[in-house]
Amino acid sequence: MARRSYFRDYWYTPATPKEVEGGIKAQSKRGAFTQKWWGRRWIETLESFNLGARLSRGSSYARKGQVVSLDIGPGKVTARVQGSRSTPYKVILLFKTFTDKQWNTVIEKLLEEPIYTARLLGNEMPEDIEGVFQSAGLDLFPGRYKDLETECSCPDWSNPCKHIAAVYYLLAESFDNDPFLLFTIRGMNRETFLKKLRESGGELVAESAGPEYDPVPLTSEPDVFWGAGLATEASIPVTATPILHASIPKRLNNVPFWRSETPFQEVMNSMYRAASQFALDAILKEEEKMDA
Amino acid sequence: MIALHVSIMNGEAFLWGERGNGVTPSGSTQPFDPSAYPYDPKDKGLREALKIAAPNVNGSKYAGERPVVWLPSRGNVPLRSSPVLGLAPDQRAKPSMRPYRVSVKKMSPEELLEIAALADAHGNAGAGVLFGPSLRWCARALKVMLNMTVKEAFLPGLAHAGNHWEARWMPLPGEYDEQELDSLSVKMPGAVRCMSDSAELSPDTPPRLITNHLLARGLDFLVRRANSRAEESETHSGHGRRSHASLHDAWIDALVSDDAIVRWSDERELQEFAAVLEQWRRPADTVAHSKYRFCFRLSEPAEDADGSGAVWNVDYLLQPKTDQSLLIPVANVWNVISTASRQLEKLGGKPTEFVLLALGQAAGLSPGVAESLKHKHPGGFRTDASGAWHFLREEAEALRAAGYAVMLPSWWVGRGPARKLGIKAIAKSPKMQGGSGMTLDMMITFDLSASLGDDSLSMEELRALAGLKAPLVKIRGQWVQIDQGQIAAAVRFLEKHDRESASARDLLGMALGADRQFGGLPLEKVEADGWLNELLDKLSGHRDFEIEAPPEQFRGNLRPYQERGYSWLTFLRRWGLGACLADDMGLGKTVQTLALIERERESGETRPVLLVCPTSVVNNWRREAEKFTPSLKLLVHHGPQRRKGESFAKAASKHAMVVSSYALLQRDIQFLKDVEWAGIILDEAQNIKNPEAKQSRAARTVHADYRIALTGTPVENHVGDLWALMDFLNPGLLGTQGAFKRTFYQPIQVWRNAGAADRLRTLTGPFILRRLKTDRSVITDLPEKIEQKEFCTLTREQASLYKAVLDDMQERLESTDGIERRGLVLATLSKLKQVCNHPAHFLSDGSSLENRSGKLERLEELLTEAAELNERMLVFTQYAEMGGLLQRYFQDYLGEEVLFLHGGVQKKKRDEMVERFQKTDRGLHLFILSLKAGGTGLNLTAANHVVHYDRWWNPAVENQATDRAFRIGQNRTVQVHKFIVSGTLEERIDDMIERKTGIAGQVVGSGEKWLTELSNDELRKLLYLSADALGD
Repeated sequence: MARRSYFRDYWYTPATPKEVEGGIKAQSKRGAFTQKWWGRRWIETLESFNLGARLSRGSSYARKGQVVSLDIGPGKVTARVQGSRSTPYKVILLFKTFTDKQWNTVIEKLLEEPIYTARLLGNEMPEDIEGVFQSAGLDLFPGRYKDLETECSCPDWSNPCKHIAAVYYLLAESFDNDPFLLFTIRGMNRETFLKKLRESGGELVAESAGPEYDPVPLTSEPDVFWGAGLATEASIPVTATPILHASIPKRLNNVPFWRSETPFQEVMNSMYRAASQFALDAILKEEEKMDA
Repeated sequence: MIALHVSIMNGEAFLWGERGNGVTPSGSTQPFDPSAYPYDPKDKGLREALKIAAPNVNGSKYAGERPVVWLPSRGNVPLRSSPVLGLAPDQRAKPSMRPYRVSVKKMSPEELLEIAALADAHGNAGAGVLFGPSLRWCARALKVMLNMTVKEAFLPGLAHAGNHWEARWMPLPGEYDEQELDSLSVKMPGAVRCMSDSAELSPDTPPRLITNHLLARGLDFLVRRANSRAEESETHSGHGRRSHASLHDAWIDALVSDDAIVRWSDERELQEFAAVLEQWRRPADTVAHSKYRFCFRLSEPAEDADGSGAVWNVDYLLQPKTDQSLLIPVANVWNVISTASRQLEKLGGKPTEFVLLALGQAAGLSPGVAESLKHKHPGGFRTDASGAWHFLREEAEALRAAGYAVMLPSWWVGRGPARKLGIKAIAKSPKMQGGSGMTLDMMITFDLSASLGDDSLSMEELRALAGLKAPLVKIRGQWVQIDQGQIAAAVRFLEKHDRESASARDLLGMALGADRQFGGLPLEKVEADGWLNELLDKLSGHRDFEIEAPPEQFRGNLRPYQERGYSWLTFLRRWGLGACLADDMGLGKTVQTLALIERERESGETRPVLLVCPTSVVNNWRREAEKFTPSLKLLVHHGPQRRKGESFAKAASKHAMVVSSYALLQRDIQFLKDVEWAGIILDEAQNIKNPEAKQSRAARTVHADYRIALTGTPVENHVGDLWALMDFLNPGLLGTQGAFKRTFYQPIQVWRNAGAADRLRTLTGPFILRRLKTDRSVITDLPEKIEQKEFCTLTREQASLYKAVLDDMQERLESTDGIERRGLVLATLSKLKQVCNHPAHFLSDGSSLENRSGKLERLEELLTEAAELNERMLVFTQYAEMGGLLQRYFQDYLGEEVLFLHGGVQKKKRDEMVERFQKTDRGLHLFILSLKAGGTGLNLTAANHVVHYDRWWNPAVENQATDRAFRIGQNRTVQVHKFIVSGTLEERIDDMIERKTGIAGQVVGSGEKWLTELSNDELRKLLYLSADALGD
């Protein structure tokens, strides 16, 4: 660990990391990183470490897009974070994974109340899921420092450093959109989890693919073939533009690990609004033409 | 003529054409290449047709071999899409499908949408080009797509396409959209999916799949275009192919770029991102692509319960998209042996994942749903009045927006009786002043109180309600939603203002439902006593207005319904209220109006009435007035010699009626508006439907005691036109144009809101009287045949031709005699009649027909009106050439086939025409017949209008022709229109026949020979052109 005072006059420029193009950017520009309770709960752990200024630097790293890559695997998150040096630092977070047996216990308990499955299917973490894990003797969220091992290749002596904090913040945000990632770091991915739910519950039946259409041979009846009588059809009523734009993307939350400068929902909002207005104008123009 | 068709093959749209020809390939022995489409217009023909129909659409070459269309055929002759293009070979054999190679133009989504929009707005594409039904179907599909785009029913995605990735907008049909798409698919003409690469197998692609393809491409295009437009206008630099900082930037760019290609080199990252997006979309996809829709149903507490302790239920239900009559309670889904389970098994298994997902998402929107999920096998939840209110007010809307169906009690959605808190006004009629002091401009004071539905609420009751905290209260056996803020506002307002005043006219408007608020509450009801009450009752039809006796000087009889119409006009006139008489054509709007004017004169009116009508009927008015009200002095104000300014005012004041045209109303408004008019009457009042038009503005500036509009079109169906009409008749009744657009036009026309339509009807109904000929319950005494002479005018061109022909004759008349003279007279006569028909008829030069003949203009008006009511018309002419001109002109004008029967049509073909005309239930509004070939024998009772475009001057022959429609089998009133050009030989000969004077006896039955016996002087008197022949 190099001492900062020694290098200060030569090349060290504090708090001005090298700019990154196309890094992962937190979608919240200020305030809390997450809208959901489980994201907040995740951050509580980090914030309990009293990191002081490192915490705010970490959050500004996350918002500026200093995190170049982020991989979530069972028990392990690896990331590369661009600091002031030319090569990004490597960050590793290690988590304790649960055994199959432990997971089975959890799943059994989850099946007792349909709300758990229902919420999880909609990408929402059930409110009292922590209690379910606890009753199986497990902690879903890392509670204490020794629950998670972290490393960073940066010269900072503190652990967690701002790079780790940045990764931690981005993780919190990604959990907002996909709570299953929380399970992934505990060794259970989404597909396996849902499979287990189905197998043990028997009440989670997925639909076969949407409606299927049968082939329809062409008719040789001239009037039907040519579509006579279409002209006399009543016209189709027109709908109004929604008051709230891009409501479907909003309901689906952000796309995880967003890298563009403009936040995802902002992009969607402007595109949806433009489309809706464009189409309504086109309809009204038509109606007026027909009226005249 | 070319018809354009569009077919979809492998998700791509192709335009192709069907050339019309006079000759129909007959029989199966016709030698042509069996695989080539005989009506193929080829590339050149397609290009030319597109230039006319859609100048912005070029289409692109199709790289492959010419594709094949499978068409219904007899033998190896493909059947026509429309009889306009030619008739099918007449064979009994059932048609079969055969493949034909055809030239095509590939349409980009943009081009397809452009041409579909054109097909929607115009029935026919332009001279010689027709939009086929397949294009009209595309127009409908476009509407659905636009609607889905407005509603934002789509999501972005990333799809692998061959060797690259594309950013695409994918449709996410909501519940309502699914239904539209289904019905669209059912209606898809076979022509849309008849194209294939193979001449071996006839295509059988499911229509819904084609709809889905089209939707996916169209919607992607619309969203893309909307955003590329927005981007272009914001920045100019938007289109440089810049390199992207991240895959996400590349994707966003590709979502609005024309080619949709995501430019990013890392294949693995692309794959991962595609998976991320799919995962992200999954909750929405699962719901949108389910076989079911998820419903919430709120039901109110059982009868005996009331007040705050009552239990409300919200039930969860599944409704199969394929059978919406079925509602399966989710509570039973969990039970293995329930009927519900059996039903679901039949439909393809239990959708428990869908149920849980749906509930899981709804849990975030409704606390009740979240709570219900704490128990196994949720089926609904119970709540109290305040929970129910919250569900009604907030959760229901949020759930609907999230794609759920929500069923609420009828009283909430407004289907039941309205139980809204409102204001009631109670007016006392002021004492009538002695004499005629009664006017709607007098001020009336009225008391205000609160009301709930039909019940009045006293201040005490209102205050008591304000004290209740529950948002839903049961009052007199019905649940009512109470907004505490509104109640408080009402209490505050009514404590200070329990009395208001307004003019009687305003008060009438309010009573009829004009939008008005007091203290933030809508005015719901107006009660009045005395004469005001009586007037209101009469206006709203609760009480009959007095039936008036016809004026003394009126010549002729008013039929009972006409007497009623005349009395109605008198009633509204007495109150200075504007009236729109919109009786069906032929019911005698003219006589009812004349009777009113006569009545006014008899009761002391000395000021003139201004009557404005289209030039083509100016002479009609003159003639009708002469016949029914000869004591009314009438001044026709038109033609270049008309009086102006002071001189006009002076002349007008000496007449009872001034008849003028819309063109002159606008041109002469400066001095027309200075005259003191008793009334202003607009005939064919649809002429002022555009409020911005100069003539509409001019009409509004004329001051008069009363205003009447006459029209034969169903005004109430043309919401957009109603404002201008009412603004002329009763200014202010419908508010400003902007307010009207907001409160009526858009809700009715665009959103098809039935409530708004009802309100508009109550508000305007009292001022519109429309009787239909078909309404035999009202009009019991209608004769089965109404004969009417249509007095037409000449255009300037016609007049100068008429004069030229006449001059030519006169010059030569002096120097001829004997057979030569006879020939000259007959030739002249024939030429004059041709000029009266149409300049192009006389000139035989193939020139265009539009706006050159008074008769044609009148025929256009009559035909438009008839076609709008889906009534059909026979037009007789003695000239085959004129018939041909009319056929071509109206084929283009109506965008449909026009039949023409003349001497050259073979017997077999003739029978076929008659049969088709009699049997069809759409189109074929016009059947043109030459008097000689079609005047006898045929049975054409499908028509109930007969026009004699030119005259044979032999009533017997004309009646015989009329009898084609007026005969056994006819169950409607037949209207006969005889066209006569005023101020020409046509009018004079008609007069002679009518009066049976002079040589009339010779005239009838002897053709036109008698004319040659006239002296030069007599001839001149008969043929000369008088001033009233000229239109403007």
